[in-house]
Amino acid sequence: MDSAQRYDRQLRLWGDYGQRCLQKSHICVLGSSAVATELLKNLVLPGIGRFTIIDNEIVSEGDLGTNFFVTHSDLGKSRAKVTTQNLLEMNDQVQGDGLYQDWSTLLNESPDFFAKFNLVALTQCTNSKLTSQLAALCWQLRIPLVITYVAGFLGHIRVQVAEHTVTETHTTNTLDLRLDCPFPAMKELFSKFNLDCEDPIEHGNIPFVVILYHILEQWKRNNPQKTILSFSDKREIRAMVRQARHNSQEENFQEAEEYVVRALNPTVLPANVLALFDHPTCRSQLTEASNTFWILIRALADFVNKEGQGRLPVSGQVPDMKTDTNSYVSIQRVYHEQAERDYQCVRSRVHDWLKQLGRSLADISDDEIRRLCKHAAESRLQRGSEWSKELNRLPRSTSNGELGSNLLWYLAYHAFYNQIQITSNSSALEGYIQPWQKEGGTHAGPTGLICHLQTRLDYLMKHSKSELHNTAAMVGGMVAQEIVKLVTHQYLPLLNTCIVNNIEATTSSFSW
Amino acid sequence: MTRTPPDSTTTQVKPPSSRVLMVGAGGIGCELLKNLVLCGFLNVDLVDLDTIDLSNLNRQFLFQKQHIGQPKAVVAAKAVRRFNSQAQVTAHHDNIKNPRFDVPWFRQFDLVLNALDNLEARRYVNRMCLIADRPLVESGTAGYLGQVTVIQRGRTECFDCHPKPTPQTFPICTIRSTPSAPIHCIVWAKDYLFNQLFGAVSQEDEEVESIGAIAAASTADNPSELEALHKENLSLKRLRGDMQSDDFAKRVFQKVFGDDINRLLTMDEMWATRQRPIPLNFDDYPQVLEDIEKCHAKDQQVWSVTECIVKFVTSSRHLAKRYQNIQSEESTGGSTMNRGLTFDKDDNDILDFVTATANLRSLVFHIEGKSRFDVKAMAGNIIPAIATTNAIIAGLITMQARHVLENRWDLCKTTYLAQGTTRPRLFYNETLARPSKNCGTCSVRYVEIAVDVARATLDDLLKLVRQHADVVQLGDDLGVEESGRLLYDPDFEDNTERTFADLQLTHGKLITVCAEEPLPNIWPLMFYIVEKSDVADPIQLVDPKQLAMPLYATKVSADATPTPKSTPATPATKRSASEPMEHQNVKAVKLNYDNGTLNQPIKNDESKVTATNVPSDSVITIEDDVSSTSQDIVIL
Repeated sequence: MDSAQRYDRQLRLWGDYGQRCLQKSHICVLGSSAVATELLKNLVLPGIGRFTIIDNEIVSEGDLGTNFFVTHSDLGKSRAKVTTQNLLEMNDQVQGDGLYQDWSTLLNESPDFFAKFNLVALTQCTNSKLTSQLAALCWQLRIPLVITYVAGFLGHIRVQVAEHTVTETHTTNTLDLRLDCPFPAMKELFSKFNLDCEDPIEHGNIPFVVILYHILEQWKRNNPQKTILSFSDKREIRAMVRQARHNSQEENFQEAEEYVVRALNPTVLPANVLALFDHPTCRSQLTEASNTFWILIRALADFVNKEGQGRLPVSGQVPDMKTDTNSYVSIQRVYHEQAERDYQCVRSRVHDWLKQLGRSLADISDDEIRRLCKHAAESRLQRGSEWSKELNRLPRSTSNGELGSNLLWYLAYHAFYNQIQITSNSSALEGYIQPWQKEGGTHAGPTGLICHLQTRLDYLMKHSKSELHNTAAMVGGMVAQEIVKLVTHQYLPLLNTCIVNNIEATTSSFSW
Repeated sequence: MTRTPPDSTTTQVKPPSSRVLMVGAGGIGCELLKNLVLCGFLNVDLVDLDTIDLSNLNRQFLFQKQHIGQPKAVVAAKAVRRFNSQAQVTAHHDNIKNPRFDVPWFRQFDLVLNALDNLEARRYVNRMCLIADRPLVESGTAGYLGQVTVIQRGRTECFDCHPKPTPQTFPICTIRSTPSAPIHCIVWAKDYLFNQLFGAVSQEDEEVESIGAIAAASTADNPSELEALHKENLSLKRLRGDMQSDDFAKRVFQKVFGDDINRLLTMDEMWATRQRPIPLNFDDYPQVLEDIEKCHAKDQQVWSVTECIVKFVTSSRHLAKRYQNIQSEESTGGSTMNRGLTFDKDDNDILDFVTATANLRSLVFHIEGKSRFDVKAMAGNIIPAIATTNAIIAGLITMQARHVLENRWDLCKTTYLAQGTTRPRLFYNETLARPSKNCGTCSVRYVEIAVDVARATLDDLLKLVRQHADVVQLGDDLGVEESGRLLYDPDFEDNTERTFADLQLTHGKLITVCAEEPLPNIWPLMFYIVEKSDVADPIQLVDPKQLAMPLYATKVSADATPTPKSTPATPATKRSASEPMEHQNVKAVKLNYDNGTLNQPIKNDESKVTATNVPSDSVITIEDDVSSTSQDIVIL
């Protein structure tokens, strides 16, 4: 109860399952300056399982002005150890270790060390060679990596994930009413309502799903050859709904009209789910060691191929509608019972696979299977790109060729990580941004663009060792948020680069 | 010890000399206070009336378990002082609406920062800042969403320029007689049953239907039914007298789930088109008494009938005991007020009671049940809150605070945070809008008066206005009122000889003086009372200039059409003066201010995001929600 109470306000965003994911996660943070401790603060508070900070810096005067998790009495001590201790004070349910150590040594001598983490966050690293080396290792180990760097009022966030699976996107506009492919119990219930009834109360209480169902059936009889509704078909159906009403005051008919577009979308397998079914892990590579996500997806695919007749399990969610309590309850019941039947089928398929793979049935809880059935349409796989790929090429241009402020900052960061040094003759930079010359718009001409980039690169260099607390806190908030999304497999995380411009209060994301 | 930021060229020297007022030490407040102190703001006053609760600890990091129950403002101030001994952080554990925080008090600050969670306090601080003519940075978060904006009199919209949606209300009969949805039963349990049994009793309550917000929407189309309901109230209140008895819970149960339902059933016309409720009988559930010790009802599952009854019995007992403790404390303290318990969503007994009774009522009316977790959200109007969103919003507030203090209005803007959706972009910006011409809060002339309330009469005020008729421009026929109470008009002169004290026109109150017939482009006067007893005249103007229409107002009214929001801001910085300007005109997800809290974001679907008035030379690419995976370079 204690932890339910403590975490109450966030459970309403990511639920028990998300909270368990968070509590099971062990993340590694390289560096312990302000942005590192701020991001950790935002993970310790909601209850991440464990963190490890690795840093060979000691607490200096400069830290006192920017880092909330060191105090004057900590001067000269290991910053990793001090900040770990102070961070842990916020939440006794979290474990943490501070290692006074050079992480590059670990990277070079025992790269396996990193394999145990669920996620690695690299902060304020100015050594682009080490950055690339770490990125390559994480890519190879399939561990999500977040790279972040703040300088003055600017922040840079890069998420590198090879494959990321999402179970709940929390997009709210999905409806699963099966009006185009009613299951038997639904047909039976819906046909009990009479659209032609004279009684005004009865007519005004026909639920909109029933109205749409009957009108659609009628329309299908008139258009037997059509299987997919076009926009004009839906318009026709809407006109039929309008004709069937007694008067314009009937709220249930108003609802039916409003729902025509959404509720009559064909019940098909979403592309994101198909992509999961086509994934090699799902098709043929399930092993004893497979992630439970893929076992669930495989069971789901089996269900779709067999009992589901090409469709996902019924989610069982029914929207609010204008009707009497009785009808609403019976409609809820009919969807709910079908959802329960579908769930039972998926459950037994999950158990079949667990047995076949020689695993314990307890590896996947009933709650998890229920969640999958309820949100099946939201499951998806996101593919990210490798750090080295980004460094080897510049992003695509904008449509009209203008360079905005944040794009210039992006290019400056890009150059920064490629260790392009600004020299007095700027030749290195000139060659570097050559592809942009002709698209530079108002910055056209080598001097214009170089000048802008040089100013920015200077800025990044100049602030490479000093963070502004406010920028660090804000970027720390954003990075932590992305980490929460990644470890809970909920919502859609950033899978590319984001520039945070705190002077103008803008953010821009870049892909390539 | 000194903690100066490492790079003084980027952190200007302005903040340390500025005095800043922060209202609220909750989720945003903790982050903001830390940012301010670490960014060199050395003079901060912090006001918060709240105490620390366990459910705060997932984000309000200045507090720890041992602080539960202590004042937020005090603990927060203490926590950050540790980090900067130079910082003067003054804590006020008090309601910002306390008259001691008057306009002269507000005026000592260069800037006010709101970190509030309710509509009422936001509106109050907004008005105080308008009167004191101090800039205000307003903010709020709800789950992954948040927003920050800047308000300054004459320059921008104020908080009241756009009306905020009012909380949802239900007709009294729906709540009391014909519920049809879970929320109706929850409102009944929380606002009616709980209050009638354990709430405070005042003399007025005996006469007035006391079921809170729902009464507002009462449709009195059925007076006889209302009369019957009123009788029900009284008999329920009488049950309070039996609180000590062992069968108190049973008697309440029999009344509200038995007798009252049976009475409803006698009204056949009510059930002509509705399913008839089925009353419950306590003795039908004999196993309840055995289960009391071993019932472990789950938080996220809907309780069974037995579980509901067990929880009802146990929570009623606990609440009855607590209520009686309060009563006995009061009688020893000699207080005549009859205080009771108030609803608190984080109070386990209260939440058990509301969940159990709401679900039992749902059962009676054939409505689906709700888990305790869901009931908490619905009854408590809970806004999800997380550390990350607060960190980002506090960062934005701090930047806006700097811009204001450096007088860089060109950099000030409204920023929306839209996160956790399919779209990877985080910020949406809008240029600050001009004040609304018809706003009753900022399109008025605030005039401070020093008043000896014992001597000053309403007539003195009228005389003062007439003396300055040429400046005031309100004509001869005046109307005077105070928060909706009419004090004077040409046909109502009864009060003119009465003193301010007699009329309860006391420190901090606002008196509106307007032309009886509204005049175009001439704003009413709103007098702000500062009580003073050592003044020569009973009423003195603090600053006569305040009587005149402000310059900015005449400018606004000269523009027939409101300034379009796309008016380009001046170039952001000198450094980038030659760059193409970016226009911040993307309309984004706005938060609603509902039921006093900033919450319930509008669904973030694609139709809500549109670019308006995008100048042709700016680069704005609007991403498509559906194809978020292949976005181009996006420049906001």
